[in-house]
Amino acid sequence: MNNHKVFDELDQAIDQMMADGEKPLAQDEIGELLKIASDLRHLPRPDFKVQLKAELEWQSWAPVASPRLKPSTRRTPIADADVLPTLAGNGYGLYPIRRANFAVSVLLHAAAMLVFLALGVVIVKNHAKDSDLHGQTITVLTPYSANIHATQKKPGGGGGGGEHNKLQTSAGGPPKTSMRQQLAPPTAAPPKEESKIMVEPTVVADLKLANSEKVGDQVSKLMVPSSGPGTGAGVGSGQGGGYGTGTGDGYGPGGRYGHGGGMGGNGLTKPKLIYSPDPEFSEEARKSKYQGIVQMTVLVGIDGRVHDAHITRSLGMGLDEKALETVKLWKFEPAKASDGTPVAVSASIEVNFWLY
Amino acid sequence: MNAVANAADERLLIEAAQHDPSRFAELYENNFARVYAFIARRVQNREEAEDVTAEVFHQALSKLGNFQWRGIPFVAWLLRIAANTLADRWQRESRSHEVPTDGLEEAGADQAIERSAMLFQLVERLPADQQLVVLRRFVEQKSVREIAQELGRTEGAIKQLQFRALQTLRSKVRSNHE
Repeated sequence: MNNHKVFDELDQAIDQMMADGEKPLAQDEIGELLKIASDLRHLPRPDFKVQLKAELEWQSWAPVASPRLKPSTRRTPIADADVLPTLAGNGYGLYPIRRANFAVSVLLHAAAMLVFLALGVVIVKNHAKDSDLHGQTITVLTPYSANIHATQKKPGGGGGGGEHNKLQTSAGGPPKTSMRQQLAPPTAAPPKEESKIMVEPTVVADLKLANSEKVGDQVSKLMVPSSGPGTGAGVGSGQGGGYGTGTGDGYGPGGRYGHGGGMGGNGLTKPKLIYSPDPEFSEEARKSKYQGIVQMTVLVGIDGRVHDAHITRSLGMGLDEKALETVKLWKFEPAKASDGTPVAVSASIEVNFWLY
Repeated sequence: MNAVANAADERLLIEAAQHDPSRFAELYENNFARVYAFIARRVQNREEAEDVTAEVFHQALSKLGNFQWRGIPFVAWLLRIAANTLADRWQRESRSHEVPTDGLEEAGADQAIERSAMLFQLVERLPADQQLVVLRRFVEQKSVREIAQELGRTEGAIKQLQFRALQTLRSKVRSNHE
């Protein structure tokens, strides 16, 4: 018989057997070879025996923490694709597969990622805080339609603030007090850049204090200007736009506004300006080199947009209109009530038009 | 096919593995082919055969301390674990198969299992090119054309290697039986 014919005949018979899954019955030479071929269909993968031996060796070394894979993971596409060969254990002979090492590596990488993420969050928050302190600020926020003056008749609150400074509050005196809405919080530090809001800093209190040119702590000897370790925009170790150790825009150790040790106010957070394009000069004002400040009251809605803007101090020469156009483009993070719900608040703002 | 020449040697090997589990590797090498062949003839595919085989040897290693020598071949103990493992699997999958656990002492000597186990070991001793063709054809179930393309040979050459490999295996099986 021609050899090639036998090879072809055997190959066709093998194809047939593998397709049908039936055992050969023929007793001739092809039939006998097919019986061998039939048994070979159950042949184990050569790497399976090696892999299992490695698993057993590992189990015998560390029976408590045996790394045995679940059956379904023994033949993953990853293992076949020669990706992560140390994890799959392919092609590394009899070396045991140390999946614990892989797990430790994954955990360490995950921890490093978390550290980077945390650092990123801290940096972003600090950047936001810096922007809040030194950038374009909006002050004096009251709940829309709330009657703040009714509450102010019986002041019992306090205030505090600071610029999160590492230094204690520098030497100085108390700021100017007023029972009107706070237009700007006091600060001991000189302004780092020209603000668009040029109003006199006050705290909300009905006290008559000996005002000092330099705002600060009366018992402090620190001459380096510092608004103190508190947070917010005021002076002292408290929180808020006030003066002292309390919370809020008032004076003293209490909360909200007023002075003393009591609590008052409404617990609102201020809206934060997050987008504020500069106003354009009108052609007329530019030619006349006219400059100044436009004051207005606006309603900052829960959508963070400016609504109902009204001029309270006009500048003329078309700059009022330019100011109104500009603030309507501004975008705020809306004020929030103590439970975190966004609320609409009114705000008094000033837009500066300076040529130089 | 018994790698362990006699029962005394096997007993010593078992006792050594009971004291030092790292010696279990020798028992594994001696019995892998027969355990795998026993399982492969009772399951539907190679993946399942490998899963069950792995389970059997892991169980055997963890239970080796409980093994008591009674003059019965170690492979019979392994096959009993295999039969129980298969029965548990099929019960979980609600299959109606039953695995006879009686007479497993002789099962190791079952001709079909012995023949398969012998073949598995003989394949490892084939010339490299024949072994490669056998593995591609019967383990990976590739066609002659696919193998030829992969190895850069003609289909005729692959068919010839396939034929020669089966002839070699048949002659070795015959000589071992005689």
